[in-house]
Amino acid sequence: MNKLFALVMLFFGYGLLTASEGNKHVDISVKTEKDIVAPGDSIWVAVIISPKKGYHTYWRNPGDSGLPTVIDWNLPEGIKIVEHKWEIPEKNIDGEITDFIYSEPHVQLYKLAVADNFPISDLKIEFRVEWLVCKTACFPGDKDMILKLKVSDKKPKLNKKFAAYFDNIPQRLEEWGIGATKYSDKIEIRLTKPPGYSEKIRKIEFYPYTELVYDNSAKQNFTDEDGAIVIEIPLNKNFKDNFFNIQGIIVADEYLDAFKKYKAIEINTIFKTF
Amino acid sequence: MKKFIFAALIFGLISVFQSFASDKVEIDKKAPDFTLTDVNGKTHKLSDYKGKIVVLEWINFDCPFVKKHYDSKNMQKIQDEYAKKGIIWLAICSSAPEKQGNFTKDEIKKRIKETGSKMSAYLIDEDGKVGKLYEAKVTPHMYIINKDGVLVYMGAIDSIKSTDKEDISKAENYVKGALDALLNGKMPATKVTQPYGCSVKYK
Repeated sequence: MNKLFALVMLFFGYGLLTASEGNKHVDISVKTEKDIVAPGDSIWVAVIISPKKGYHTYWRNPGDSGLPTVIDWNLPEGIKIVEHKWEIPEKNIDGEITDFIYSEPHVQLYKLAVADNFPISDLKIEFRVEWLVCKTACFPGDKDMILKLKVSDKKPKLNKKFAAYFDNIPQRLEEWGIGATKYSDKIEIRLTKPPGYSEKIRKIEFYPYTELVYDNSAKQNFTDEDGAIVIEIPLNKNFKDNFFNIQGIIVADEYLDAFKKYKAIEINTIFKTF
Repeated sequence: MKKFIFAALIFGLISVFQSFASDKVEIDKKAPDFTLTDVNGKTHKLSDYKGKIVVLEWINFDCPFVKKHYDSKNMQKIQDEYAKKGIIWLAICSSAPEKQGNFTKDEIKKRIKETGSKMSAYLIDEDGKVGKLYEAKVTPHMYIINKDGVLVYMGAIDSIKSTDKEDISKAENYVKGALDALLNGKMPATKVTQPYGCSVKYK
């Protein structure tokens, strides 16, 4: 019995020793908007990524350094991802290095669509989360997860707390007019305010989805007059390729919608070139 | 009129001088000159290597991305292969004192020996001056300078951003591609890529 106990302890201890350093500093969990999804319907899933205090993970565009958190789904035939959303990150400037990070619990949201003819079933969907977590040093981490999903015609019970996960998600606010002009050394984004918009914006910036094109460290100046906000975004002087649109989010220090819910607009705009 | 001609001459001279010297890093322009001391106390000036192809590799031995390329021997193989073809490979560490990657000279020599590194020199840039001059953001951040002293590549070592050694064989190696092009008398097809790695640990 003592030998067996020793063997178990040895195995357990070995497992602890080989646990990735990166895994120690991030917790992962998953929630769904409802407990059941019907065939032909869709369901929002929140993967909640929680760095421990003092640590951070990265946005889809990590910035000058780091790696985005990647989620790899093993979906069965008949279920597909139709939307994927990231929360607004924090822009972190540390001397010469500018990154887009998350130092607090945050979500990546997925909308899964279920085919009309998907059989009624209880599913266990595997997915893997891989991340880089940093404090003064950085550590890769990963976790294999299971999403339990019930496909059924029965009436679903809604998760009342789920709506809050959308609070920090950039929106396509159609009431704002968005235009962009490309110059040799900068992009100008012009945001035409909706009628009646009266918030005084003190800070507004563009966070790009695309790496390399923009100078993350450069100051973005903006003007707010004549019913429009114009933001100047310096380009990376070493990026010489042609490109025709601008994708990313505009993050402000004030609400941008009439219901005072959202402080970020998602944009994907083709621009005029000078 | 004489004053105008004189002013124009001075202006012209300044412009010509600026085209041959650069204090800011920019692709297809002269690489900024610098002077650093290596781990053995020897001084290296970039301009001393005119006529040679030079690789600059920003390094931090404790960074998981640097470890990916050193633990797998990927970096050493490339260093060795191209050293035999006359390329100068300068590793530069801009980690400030007390920060990750900043080691004593004895520790650096130990790491070089343990990893079997084939760099031409390991240069110490504790105050980060050269790192900031080159706008080095991460480790590893790679720069390639041709025989005329022009910066012809800057960015990642390869195309798959990860800490996973398994990705090395699947990735396109930008540094090898650029060096092969230069050795064949051509310009690199890919000149600028987004580097990936740990942030350089400046002061």
